[in-house]
Amino acid sequence: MKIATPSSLSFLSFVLLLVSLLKTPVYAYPNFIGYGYTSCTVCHYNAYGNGPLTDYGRALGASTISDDRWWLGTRDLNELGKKSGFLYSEHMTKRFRPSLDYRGILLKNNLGGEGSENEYFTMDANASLVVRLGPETDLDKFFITGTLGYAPVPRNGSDPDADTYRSREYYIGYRPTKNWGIYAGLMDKIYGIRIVNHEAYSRSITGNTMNDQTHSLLIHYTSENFDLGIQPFIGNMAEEEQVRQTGVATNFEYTVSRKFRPGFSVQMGESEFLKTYAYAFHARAGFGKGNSVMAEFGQVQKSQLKREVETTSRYWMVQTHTLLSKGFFLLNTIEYLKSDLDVESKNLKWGPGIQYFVIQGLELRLDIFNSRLYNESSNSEDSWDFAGQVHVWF
Amino acid sequence: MVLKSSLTSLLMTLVILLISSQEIGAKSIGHEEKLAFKKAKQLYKDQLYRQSIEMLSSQFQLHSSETPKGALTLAAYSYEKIEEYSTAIKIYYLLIKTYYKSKNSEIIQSYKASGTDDLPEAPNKLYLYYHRIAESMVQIYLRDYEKLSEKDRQALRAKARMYVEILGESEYEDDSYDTVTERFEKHDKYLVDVVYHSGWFLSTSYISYRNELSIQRESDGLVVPINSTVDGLCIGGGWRYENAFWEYGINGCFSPATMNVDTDSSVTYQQSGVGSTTLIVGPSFLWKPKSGDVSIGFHIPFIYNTGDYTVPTGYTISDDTLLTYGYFLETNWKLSNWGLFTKFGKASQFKSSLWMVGINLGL
Repeated sequence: MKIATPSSLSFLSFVLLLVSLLKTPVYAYPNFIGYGYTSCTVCHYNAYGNGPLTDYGRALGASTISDDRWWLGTRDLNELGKKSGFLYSEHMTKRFRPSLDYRGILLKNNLGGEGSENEYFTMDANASLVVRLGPETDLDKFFITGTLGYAPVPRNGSDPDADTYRSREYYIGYRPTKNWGIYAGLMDKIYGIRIVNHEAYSRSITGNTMNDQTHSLLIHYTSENFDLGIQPFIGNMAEEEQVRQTGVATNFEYTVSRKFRPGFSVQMGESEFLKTYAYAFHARAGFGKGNSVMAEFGQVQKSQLKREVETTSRYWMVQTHTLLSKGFFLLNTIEYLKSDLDVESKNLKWGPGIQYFVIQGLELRLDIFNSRLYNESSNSEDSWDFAGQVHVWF
Repeated sequence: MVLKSSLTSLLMTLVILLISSQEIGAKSIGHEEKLAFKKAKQLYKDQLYRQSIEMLSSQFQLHSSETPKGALTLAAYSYEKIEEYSTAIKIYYLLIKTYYKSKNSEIIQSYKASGTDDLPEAPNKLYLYYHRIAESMVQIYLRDYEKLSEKDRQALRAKARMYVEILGESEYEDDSYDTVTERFEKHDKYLVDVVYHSGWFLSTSYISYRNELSIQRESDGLVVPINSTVDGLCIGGGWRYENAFWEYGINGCFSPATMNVDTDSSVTYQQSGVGSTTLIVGPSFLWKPKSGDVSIGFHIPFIYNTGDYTVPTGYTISDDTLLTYGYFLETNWKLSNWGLFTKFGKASQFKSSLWMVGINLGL
C-alpha cells in the first residue's frame, strides 16, 4: 500500500479542482486545444497525433498557427493554406503525400558549472510518405504511411552499436466511418498526453520515449463527446524477443466543452524481464485563443521478474502555453517525479521556454530546465540546462 | 500600410471614375461651373479635399437640390475625407430626397413594417448613399462618442444598422459595409474592456526553493554553508485591479513547509523535517496579450523566512531568519472565478530559484 505524499496530494487536488471548475461552458500539438482542436485526427493521420499531417493539418499550420509576417509570398490565409503542400507547393497528386522532417538540438548542460559544454546533434531527420487509397470522395478513408530516417545513437550509451537509421512509424489505417478508425503497424503507444519533449518524466518513466514505438493494432473511436482508443501491442519486432513488451494501452478523453478535455489512460505490458503497469489522469484546457494548460498525474508499477523487485513511481506534469503573438508561445513545464515511493527522494523540474513558428514549416524552440533533487539524507545543487531546437518540415 | 495606401488609392480612383462617368447632372450649367467641377475633381484626385470643396462652393450651392448630382456627390465624398461627416450625411440625404425620394420612402416604410423581409429593390446609387451614410455614422460614433448624448448614440447605432441590414438584402456589391456593425460592437466592447474593476481572491499553491544559511563552529570560527531544500503548500490571497488589458495587484501567501538541511564539508550537520515558515507578499504587474483571460508579467515579492533549526552545542547558525526580496515571472490563466497561476524567479539570499504553481478563487 503506497501512501500519497503531500506534494502529490496537493497536485492531485489542483487537477481535481481544475476538472471541477471547468465543468461549466467555456469559451495538434496537444496544446492546440487552445485553438479549439480537441482531437488529433483533424490534423494528423495518426489518431493520437505526431507523424504526417493531413492536408487540413498542413493548411492550418500554414495559415493559423505559424507567424506570417516573415513569409515572402502572399499573406492571404487561403493562399497560404493552398501552398502548404510538399515544399511549399500546392498538392501535386491526390494519392501521395510526401514530407520531410528535421529536428536538431543545441544542448548546454550544467549551465554556469564546471565542464559545461555545447553539443549540437540531429535528433531526427526523416522522410515520410502517405499513400491515400480511399475512394475519390474520401481519400483518407484507407491509407498506408511510413517514415524512415536518421536517428542518433541513444545518448545514455545503452547501445553504441545501434543503427543510425530507423523507422519510428509505419502502419495501415482504415477509417470505415467518420467515427471509427483501425490502424495496424508500428506506432507510439496511446498513453497520457503526447507532449513533444520525449525526455519528460511522464514519457520516460512510462516507457514512451523517442524509440519506444511498438507493433500494434489500434482501434479508435472519436465523436464530439469523447475519444476512446484501445491498442493491443506486441513490442517492436526489430528488437530482441526477450525485451519486447506485450500488452495493451488504452486512452479515453471526454469533451466537457470545446476547450476542455479530461481523460485517463492505462498501459499494461510484460516482457521476459519486466512487467509494467501504468495509469494516468490528464486534462487539457484552452483559454482564449491559442492559450492552454495541460496536466497529467500518473503512477507506474514496474516488476523486474527475474529479481522479484517491484518499484512504484509517481509523477505529475503541468505544461502551459501562452500565445503572445501569432506563432509565438511562452511555455512553462513543471514536472515532478518520485521514482520510488518507498524512498524519500523526488525530482522536480521547471522548464520555462519559448516556441516560435517563424513561418510555415519552421519552428524554433528555446528551453531552460531547472532541475531539483529532494533527498531526505542529503542535498545537492540545482542543475540548469539549456536546449535550443530547430524543427523544419516540408 | 502599403496595402492600406493602395486600397485608398484604388478607392479614390474608383470615386473619380464614378463621378467622371456620370454627367454632372441633369441641370443646365454654364461653362464656368463646368470648369469649376473639372478643377474640383482634379483637386480631389490630388487629395486636396478642402480646396476641392472650396472650388465647388465657388460655383455651386452645396446644400441646394438645384445643384447638379455630380457636384453634390463630389462634395459629400470630400466632406467625408476631411472628416466632416455630418455635412456629408446632410448632402447624401439631400441627394436621396432629390433623386430617390419615393423609392427611399418605400424601402424605409417596408423595413419599419417587416424588417428585411420582402424589401423592394432600389437603384445601385441609392444603396451607395445608404452605405456612405452608415459609414459616416460609425465614424461620428467612434470619434465623438464622449460628446454624444446616449440618445444620439442609440440613434446612430439604430440608423446605421438599418442601412447595413438593407444593404445585406440587396445585390449591392461593395460588402465593406459589413464592417460598420462590427466597428460599433468593437468600440462598445472596448469601452467595457478598458474599465478597471477590483476584487479579492484566495490562493493555494505548491512552493519550492532552497534557502542559504551557514553554520559556524565557535571554537575556531569556521563557517560552512548549509544546504537546504524546502517544499510545501503556500496559502494566501490578494487584491487585484484589472481591465481586459492590464492587471495590477498585491498578493501573498504563508507557507508552513518542511525542509531537509545538511552540509557537504568538514562540519557534519544533517537534519530532516525541519519546520520552515515563509511569508511572501508583493505587487504584481501583468499584461494580457490577447485582452482576455491569460496574463503574464512580474511579481516583486518581499519574503520573510525562518527555520526551526536545532543548533548543536558549540555552533551558531546565521541567516536562519531572513527578510529579503526577489523577482518572479508570473503567468495566470483565469476561468470565471477560478484561476491557475505560476511564479518562477529568484529571491536575494536564496540559493536557488523559487517556484510556485497554484490556483486562486475570486471572492
